[in-house]
Amino acid sequence: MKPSPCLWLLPLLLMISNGLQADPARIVYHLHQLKPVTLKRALNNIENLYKGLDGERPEIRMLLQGESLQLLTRERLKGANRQRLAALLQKGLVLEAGETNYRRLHDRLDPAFPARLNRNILSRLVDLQKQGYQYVTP
Amino acid sequence: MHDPKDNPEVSDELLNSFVDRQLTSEERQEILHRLKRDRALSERVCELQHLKEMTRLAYDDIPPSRLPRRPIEGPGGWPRMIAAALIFGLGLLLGMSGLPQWGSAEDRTAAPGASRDRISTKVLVHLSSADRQSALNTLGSLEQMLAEYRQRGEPVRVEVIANGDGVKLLGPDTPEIAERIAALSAEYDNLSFAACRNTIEQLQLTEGLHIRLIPQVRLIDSGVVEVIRRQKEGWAYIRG
Amino acid sequence: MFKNRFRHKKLTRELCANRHRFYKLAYSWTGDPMLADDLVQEALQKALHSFDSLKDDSKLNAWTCRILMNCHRDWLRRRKDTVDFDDYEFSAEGDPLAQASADDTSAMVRRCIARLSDKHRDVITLVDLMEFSYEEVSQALDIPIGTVMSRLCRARRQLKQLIAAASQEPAAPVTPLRSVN
Repeated sequence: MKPSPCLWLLPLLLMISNGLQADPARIVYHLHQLKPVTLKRALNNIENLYKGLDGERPEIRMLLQGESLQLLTRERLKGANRQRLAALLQKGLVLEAGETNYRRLHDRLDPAFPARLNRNILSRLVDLQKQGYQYVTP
Repeated sequence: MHDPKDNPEVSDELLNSFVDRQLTSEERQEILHRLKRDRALSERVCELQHLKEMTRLAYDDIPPSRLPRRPIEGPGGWPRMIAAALIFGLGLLLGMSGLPQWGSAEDRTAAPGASRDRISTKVLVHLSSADRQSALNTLGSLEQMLAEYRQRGEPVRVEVIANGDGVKLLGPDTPEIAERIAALSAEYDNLSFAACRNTIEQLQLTEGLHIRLIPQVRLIDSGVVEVIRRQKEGWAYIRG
Repeated sequence: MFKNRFRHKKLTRELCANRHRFYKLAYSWTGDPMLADDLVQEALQKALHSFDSLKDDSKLNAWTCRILMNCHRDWLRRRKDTVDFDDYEFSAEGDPLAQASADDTSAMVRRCIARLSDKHRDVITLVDLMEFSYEEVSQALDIPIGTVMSRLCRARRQLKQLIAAASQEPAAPVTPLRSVN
């Protein structure tokens, strides 16, 4: 027996009744390695995310775990990469790091790129996913 | 607003605004430009950022709220009930026009991974590279996370799954990692390790490697299938 | 009717998403997890039933903070009616962190924040815990933005001095008292 075409009205009515609205896209971008291409790939990915998700008011957080935090040191963050990261912060990108690691590298980090600190970066990754953030790595 | 160019001495108020991201992009650019040249200014900014983070972190491990997880009920009970009744009625009418039969008994399968596990936090850590330092960092962070959950009295289950080059780290040939895994497994019974059989067989065929696993690591058929399945079941996913 | 329901649903969702932040804020004032829970629950219930009085949805968080502050003030007044305020001490029961060792940085910082004046503590916690913009702080506290900036400056200066002093002396438990104006 073929389903009645009127059946398709039901989900639409349910949607209207529940008042579904799109929530902003939430993404956590996780870095944990310090390879030469890491930062460039991350910047490419995140710029593309902002471009592609423009209508969805994306909330993007970049979590730098372990040695990847060195990407924010003065000696490594220079030139075009520095400008691109600054531009992404203007768009709302939030940088995050582990507290102990951050304090260890404190003197070498570029103060123009502050990071939100966390007791434990893995716990933070779990919490963000529980809050609905989608997980992405390079 | 303040224009940093007007006054060579940058005020505390302006620096606070910079740290709190309350400046316009032009003002921010100007401060960024000055930070590159002015070491003393850099130190002031660092101090403020440090203070801000200390304040925020001070409340990161307070006793958790005991408020119920489900959303707080608001007003509007009657309109919602009426809407539900209307939809139900409409559904009945539509049903009379000919709904398909529900699938027969043989079509119904148990929901995959339908588990009676009451643990609400489940974490999958995926190891796919042979970077030893990265793996050690991940194990260190894992240990902290497990300790944190234990201190809070919150149940958590963690599974580490290795495939690709990650399986090379789970044998006796990497003693620093093997010891760490053994110690963690002994301490936490909510932590388990698994390696992908497909990868191990593949490495033997292509690279002639004979991968031995330490006793704490069990074999699973396919790492990538487990990774996908667990995420569908609502596990948090972390690349280690 | 549907438009109103959409709006209520959206506002409710946003409030629920920020509930943990309101809880941290209430905890920073009271130091008591159960009291913080009660205040947040009361404030959110009041907010949910008063959306019609919220003229600008973009000010939801600041508006809800004011409700939370009023709930706290009401609670303090009720306590004052029955307890001699000067003798009252917030209980540390149920807060195992109150027993933390003297060198626990978080507990030390919380003690220092508790020692700030109400005005300084309000502005620092709204900016750093609620992550409010200065505009939102101005709305929540009903003060001009210039006052927010100068107060925040002085608050951080004072907090820095308190932390520096506390780092050098053995910690003493400090009860987070709040005055009723």
